[in-house]
Amino acid sequence: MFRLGSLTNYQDDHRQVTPPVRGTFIGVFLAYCMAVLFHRTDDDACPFAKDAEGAVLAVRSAGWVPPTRGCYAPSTPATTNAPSPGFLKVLFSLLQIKWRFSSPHLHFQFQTPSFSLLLGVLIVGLFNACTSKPTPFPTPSPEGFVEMEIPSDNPLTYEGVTLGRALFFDPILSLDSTISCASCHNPALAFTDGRAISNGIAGRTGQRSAPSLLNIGYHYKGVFWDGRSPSLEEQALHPLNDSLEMGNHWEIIQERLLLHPDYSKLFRLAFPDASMNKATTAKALAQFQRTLISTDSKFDRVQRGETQFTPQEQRGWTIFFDAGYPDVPMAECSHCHTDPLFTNLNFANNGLNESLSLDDFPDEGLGRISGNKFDNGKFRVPTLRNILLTAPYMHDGRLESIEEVIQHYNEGGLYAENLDPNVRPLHLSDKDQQDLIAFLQTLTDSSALTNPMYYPAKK
Amino acid sequence: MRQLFLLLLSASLVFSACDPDEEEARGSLDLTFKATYQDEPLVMFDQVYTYPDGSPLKFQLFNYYVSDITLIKDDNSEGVLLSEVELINYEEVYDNATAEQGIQLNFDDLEPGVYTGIKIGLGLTGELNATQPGDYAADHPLSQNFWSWARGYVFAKIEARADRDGDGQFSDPLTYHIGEDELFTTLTMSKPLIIQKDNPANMTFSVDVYDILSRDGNYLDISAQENTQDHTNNIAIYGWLWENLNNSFKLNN
Repeated sequence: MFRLGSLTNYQDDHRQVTPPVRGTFIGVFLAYCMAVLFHRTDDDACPFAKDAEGAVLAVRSAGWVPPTRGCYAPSTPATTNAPSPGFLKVLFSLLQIKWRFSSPHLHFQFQTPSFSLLLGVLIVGLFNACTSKPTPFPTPSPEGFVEMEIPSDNPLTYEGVTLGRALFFDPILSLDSTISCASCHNPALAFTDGRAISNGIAGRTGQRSAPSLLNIGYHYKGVFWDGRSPSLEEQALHPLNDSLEMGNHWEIIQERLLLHPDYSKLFRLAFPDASMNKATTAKALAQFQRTLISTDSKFDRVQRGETQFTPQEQRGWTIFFDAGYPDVPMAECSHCHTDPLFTNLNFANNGLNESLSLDDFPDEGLGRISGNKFDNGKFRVPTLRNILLTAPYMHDGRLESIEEVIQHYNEGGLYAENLDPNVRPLHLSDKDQQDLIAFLQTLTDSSALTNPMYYPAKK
Repeated sequence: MRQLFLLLLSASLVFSACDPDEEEARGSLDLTFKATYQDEPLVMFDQVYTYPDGSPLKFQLFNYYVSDITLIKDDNSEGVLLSEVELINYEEVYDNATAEQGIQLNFDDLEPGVYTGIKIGLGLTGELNATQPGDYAADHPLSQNFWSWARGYVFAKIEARADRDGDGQFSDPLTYHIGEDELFTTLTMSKPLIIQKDNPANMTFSVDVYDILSRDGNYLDISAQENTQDHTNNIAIYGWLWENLNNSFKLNN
């Protein structure tokens, strides 16, 4: 009676080797089945990303083409069911052992140790097949952009981005499972929510307006309006715990993620050397956010020589960049809204509150974080990409239209000692303001709004 | 035999790379850049200074680029390039102690020897000024201060607020942004310098911002709006300011 592993029946006659040889064949077959069963394919890694076919076509960019493999290109099935190198190693090892068992001169010498070896190789092979390292995801590097800073302990991977994408759109993260990150950062609104002040769970009113996340991966001087987080990894956990936002607790989130049919696998694939925890959750969310890139507005296409501004847009460009002095008025915009990100990533007091004392700001902004009174009333300079789609404006959404914003700056802002000196009365005429708006319209990047990879994947 | 040869080669490489004598023979140099206003430490926001016309003045920003910082050897051979470019930025100097400390640059691993001075480029070389932020990492000095429309960097910025009417409010903004290829200047300053192990050398430079805003009793009349701002538009203003910056830049020791 043959039993798998019963290779201890030492027999002098090589014909008695038959059971072990059969066992080896069966072992090879089982190993193949298990390896196929456990082997990770690109498709397996993307249970939320079955809909990305053709997505790449929806995106054009200056120097960075969105990834075309793995999760983001299920149209590449050729590799989907191919044996992995790990499995091939197992099979190759087993075939070698099989040959040894078939050799009449070697079978006595190696039967028992060979079986141990077989088991060892089988285990190692399966482990290798099951714990392949995540596949690197190309760092976004659009032409003209500074190099994105990515923490060495959180490189972009297809699996990490896929996990981050799933988490970003999943209300499982909020206490009552009603809101997700995307509730306030809606991709159709350039990752804002159209509200002056964002709402959290149970209709709770937050403290500030939701800023756009497009190109957020470049914000190395701190994120949030007040710069409280030095990195996206650190930022990602704040809304989860904020009682005015998601109002949740990590223990609850972790339990839900563990019970979820997909997340354990997604975490294992994204972070094979770590467990499902706060850090890996934050890392995955940060990875996804770093892929949110806007580089295909009309402004970008003009820069690339693919199209031209209209005369009105051209004049607006000149006003925006102060490039036509003394014939064309200057709007002083580009001191802070520096292209191509249309933010210099700094913090500034742009004159929203008159304050005779630096201690009198209703919202201290950066000052509350830095503890420096000269930072009171300063907020992060937001990007102007898709600006016409992200009303209302300012950190508290107090200005409802772009016309109000330009009027604010045209009047020179309200006085405070730390009012940015570049904010001063502009004396722009109505025509100047309309031309400026025409230019701002060229910063709309519809491809970033419709990119399927910036939306939840269909299951 | 081949393996033995490779082993010996590897061993010799390892030992030569760890030659303690060679490592210990390197020296270091500290460069300090101080900014003052009428010889007082220049502090952002927290200090009231006096504009040449008598108006109270508070600064918010002063910075400038230096490039091709090179030590000059005593044998007139090619110098030692310390740094291709640095942004000397006083934006976050909020108190006297920090101001007196100055902006410090440290250079290690220098070849020991006798040097006769230093060359510093004020502004950016034409080569550097032809680059753009996209050529650099986000925290590189040249990842910012770029005029895309002019395809060049702002070599220096002075931003302040004045209180011309004396009502206690600093309501009058002053912004001067200066930069174009022709302004780049190489300053050569002599100072005997010995770079040696265990004895860091140092050099201190200073700029007095009052001397940028005033020369020989002349200054910009900031009661006129057009004089309160120049972004390399009017050479009579930015050229004059840049020349004053060059004249004010001094090697102290």
